[in-house]
Amino acid sequence: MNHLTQKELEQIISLYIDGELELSEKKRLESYLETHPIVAREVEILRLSKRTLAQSTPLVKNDWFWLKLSNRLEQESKRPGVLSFASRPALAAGSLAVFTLILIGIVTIKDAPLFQKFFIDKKNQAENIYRNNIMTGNILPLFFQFE
Amino acid sequence: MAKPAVINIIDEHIPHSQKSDDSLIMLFQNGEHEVFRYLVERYQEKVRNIIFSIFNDADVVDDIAQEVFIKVYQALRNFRFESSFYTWVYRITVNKCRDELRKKKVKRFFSFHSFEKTTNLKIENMATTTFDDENLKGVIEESLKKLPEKFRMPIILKDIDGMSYEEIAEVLECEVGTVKSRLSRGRTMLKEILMPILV
Repeated sequence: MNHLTQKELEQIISLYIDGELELSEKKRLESYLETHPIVAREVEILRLSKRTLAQSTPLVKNDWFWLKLSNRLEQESKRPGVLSFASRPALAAGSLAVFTLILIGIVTIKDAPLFQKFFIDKKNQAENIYRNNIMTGNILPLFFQFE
Repeated sequence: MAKPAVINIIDEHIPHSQKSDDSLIMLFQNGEHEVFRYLVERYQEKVRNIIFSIFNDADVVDDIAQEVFIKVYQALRNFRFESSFYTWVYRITVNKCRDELRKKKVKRFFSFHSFEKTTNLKIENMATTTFDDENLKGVIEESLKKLPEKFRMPIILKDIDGMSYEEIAEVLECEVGTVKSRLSRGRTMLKEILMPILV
């Protein structure tokens, strides 16, 4: 035991107090304690503290515990869920924005040919105006002919 | 621990109060939520007592214990039988207590009332008295309060609740070696506080 560091000795004492030391180690520690009364006193204090803590008086049983808990569980189940929008305006606004974007996306993809046709018509119309008016020198009626 | 495949057939004929934790949990997970009552009744006193050991304040015990069981209720459907229900409940309890201790610490920081001074004063007062069992218990509990939480928790679980090193490691989510060294360090600190008073 004499070659042990203070930390190692403390760990052995802690194991000893818990009754976790092997018999040979236990005997070695006990013979060490016989020649080191200060350490023996420290061990005694730790044993006393362990014994005292183990004898802690339990709390008085609470017979109403379940009744109160079941009431609270019921309240919890009635409470709005985690994704309650009423209590989280920022979450509601964010969700609405995401929902709108998704909706626009779906409509765009679904009606893609319709949109394509619309833009092609507009492009052709603009080309016609360019060809029939600007190229022939009629600039003023340009915007009147544009639908 | 593996998930029990089916509820034991014999188990079906015994009353809920005598069923194993695993059977009750499986029933709960199958929609029989009323069996939660039996789990609560089985562990409520253990949970209340560990909270009391940590806070030493009977006024806060029931509120925190209820929070613990609400959390258990919400998480029970996802319980995967990888640890015993007992250590799982203890883990939730310890984590809840840590949260509360953190909140208290913040409150203390912003208040004029110093916990440290009060505890010191109590221990100093006790040092001048002679020790009967009740005084001794008070001194040791007050001294224990002075330890940092990471050293105090293993002592509470070991000395008050009588848990094994392995169970403490499971509850505190650390290695068995860490439990041993924290216990040793915590006890050394406790001894340093107690020596001038008791010798």
